[in-house]
Amino acid sequence: MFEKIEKFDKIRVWKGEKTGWHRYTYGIAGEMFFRKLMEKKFVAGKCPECERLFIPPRIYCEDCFVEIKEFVEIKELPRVYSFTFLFKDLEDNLLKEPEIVVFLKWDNIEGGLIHRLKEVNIEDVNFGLVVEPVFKEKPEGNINDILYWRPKK
Amino acid sequence: MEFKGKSLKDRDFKEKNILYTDWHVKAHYAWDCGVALSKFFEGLKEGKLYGRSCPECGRVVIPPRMFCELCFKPTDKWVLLKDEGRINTFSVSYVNTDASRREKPNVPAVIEIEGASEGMGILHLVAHPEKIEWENLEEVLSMIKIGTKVKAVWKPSNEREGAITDIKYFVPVKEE
Amino acid sequence: MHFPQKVAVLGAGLTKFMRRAQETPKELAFEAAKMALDEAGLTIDDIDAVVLVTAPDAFDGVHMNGEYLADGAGGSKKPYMRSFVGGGSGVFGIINGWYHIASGHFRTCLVVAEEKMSSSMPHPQGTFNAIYDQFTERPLGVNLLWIFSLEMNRYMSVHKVPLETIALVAKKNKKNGLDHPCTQAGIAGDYTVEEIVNSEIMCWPVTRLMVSTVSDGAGALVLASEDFAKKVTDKPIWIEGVGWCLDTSYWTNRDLYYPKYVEYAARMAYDMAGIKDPRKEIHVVEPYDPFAYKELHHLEGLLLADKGEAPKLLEKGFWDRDTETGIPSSPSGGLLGVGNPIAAAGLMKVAEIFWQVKGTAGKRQAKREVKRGLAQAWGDLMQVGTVVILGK
Ligand SMILES: [Zn+2]
Ligand SMILES: [Zn+2]
Repeated sequence: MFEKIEKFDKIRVWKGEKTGWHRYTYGIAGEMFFRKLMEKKFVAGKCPECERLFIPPRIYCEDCFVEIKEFVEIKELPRVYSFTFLFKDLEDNLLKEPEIVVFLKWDNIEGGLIHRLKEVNIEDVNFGLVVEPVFKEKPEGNINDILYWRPKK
Repeated sequence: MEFKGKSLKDRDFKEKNILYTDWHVKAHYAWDCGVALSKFFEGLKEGKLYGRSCPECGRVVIPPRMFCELCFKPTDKWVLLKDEGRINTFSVSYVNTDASRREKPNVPAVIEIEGASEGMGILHLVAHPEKIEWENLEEVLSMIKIGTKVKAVWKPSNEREGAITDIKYFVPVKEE
Repeated sequence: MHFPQKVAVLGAGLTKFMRRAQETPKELAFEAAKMALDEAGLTIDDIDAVVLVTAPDAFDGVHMNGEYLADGAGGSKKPYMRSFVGGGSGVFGIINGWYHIASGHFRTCLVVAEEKMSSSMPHPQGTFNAIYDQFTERPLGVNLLWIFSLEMNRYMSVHKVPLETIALVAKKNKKNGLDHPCTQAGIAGDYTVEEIVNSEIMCWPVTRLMVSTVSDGAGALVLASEDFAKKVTDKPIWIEGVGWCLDTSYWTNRDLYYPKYVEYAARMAYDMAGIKDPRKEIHVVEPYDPFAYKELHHLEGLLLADKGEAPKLLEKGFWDRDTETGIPSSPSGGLLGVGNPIAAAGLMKVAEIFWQVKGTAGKRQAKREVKRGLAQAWGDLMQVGTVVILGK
């Protein structure tokens, strides 16, 4: 039934594309988080049962499976929990200087944020480094309202 | 019992009562036509419709396939079919592929192809025999019904590319 | 047939059905799941396994949507599976939940169905069109309505059913939907046959009011083994039968006037439930009704009416909610009267049968006595039938 393909011009393909877009609302918890972010504030949700804090906040604790109704502002700064250096862009071109992507966690809070780290020498990036956000002047209500993070001054 | 859910209106987006983010997708695909459809499309380029027959149940199927899904055995012969058939069912569509509306309808139909086994149809469009475009629902219903005989209208051979659209459409024909 | 455990339904939950929900898919899933647990009187710790159903990822716009939804569906750190048969998924999820427990492997299973179609822009149509064959069909400029109007025309022509009779399904369901607390805004209503027949012709013979809408929503059911159920309730509702079947996706080679695959699925479920005469032994039914004719098509496939007879029974009020001698069909309001968040809509139908059999459907409660009911969904590439029978 199967034949070895020898003449590649005989292979037929049909081309197509899928266009369109997706529009995502931020949800009940997300709306609150990003509204607060526009005010340069960070909020976490607090589970009434296990009393853990979650960031980004959510309306349920996935372990206790109960509704989260309490949201609290977090004034402390997060620390670098993990990091990676990017040397190439998405098109495989070498970057002039490496980009630093960090996973940030707050002490005693579940979850965290993935973001960019700047204003730092690569040698100085380390676990536990306390960082502060640099905000965009005019917030739009999305994660890029934080331009980047930098070591706490 | 409390049923949850916060319903939004279009206004909420326009007036920015609500935060949202858009993600644009443009995915390109190149699908290999496979063994059966490659031959089928080669046939279309030559103005021919090919079916495939099953040695077990004897069915001649179109669109052609390399296996009979009923007997679950390989099909084994190419069968040249006529480029005509009968309307198995049709509809009169005022909606475009992107859900926008059409002023004048088009007529998708399942067409049972002459020479294939009974009930073997393909999806295609049926056009008005002279004007091509249909005026309205009434005009379509006055000229075609289930069972109406139709014949393929082909693109000129130099414009064919080996695609289902090498048949421009089918048109109703008079019964001899 | 022998299964190690009988399976009971302990609770059901739904969100409202909405054209655009603010909630994320996870949040919708949580709300429905939590409500089902509450009705069952259980917490997430009582749940041994979770089944999740949602239609194509492209609606929610989340690749691997099942995995994304896991925590919202209560599946975090638990045996979790997503199953999928397109539009048939809502009922298929219950079937999957059933065998988790019937096998004897789990005591309980939470089944969650979620859909957020509004994410797909400019219209979910673009996603639906991908059901057509990319080589022989899509290049023709397809839209989803084609396949339904083609099937509807075939059904109407073979049985000589007038359009006005088919419109009666929309009239009935949209009226029933007025009493459902989750009904999507602007869908239910007391329409006349004329209004339905004369509404915008979308794809003849399908008119605007004979098509269900695009919706967001979620639903959930809690299932448990006999051993477990008997400890928490003295009146369990049982899953008495399940059935499912797929036909070929060469849909232009089938005679569209009759859904044979629905019949096969129904026969499987009737056999398992020991039902010999479904017309006497099924007391309420929720057939899948994304389009008005589909309800009749499916009632015949379910063997609740002879071929071509469902429309005649409809004219006589046999399928009405307040029938005393017939079988109420879509007392919930169905997809036409409540909304159609695909997988969640199928599950809503099972939830309705659960509440009908339990006798807690409130304003929607069938007038006749209900000891047993059937929910059915349909979909995939127009080829799947999924059936669940619940009884006291
Ligand atoms: Zn908790
Ligand atoms: Zn065969």
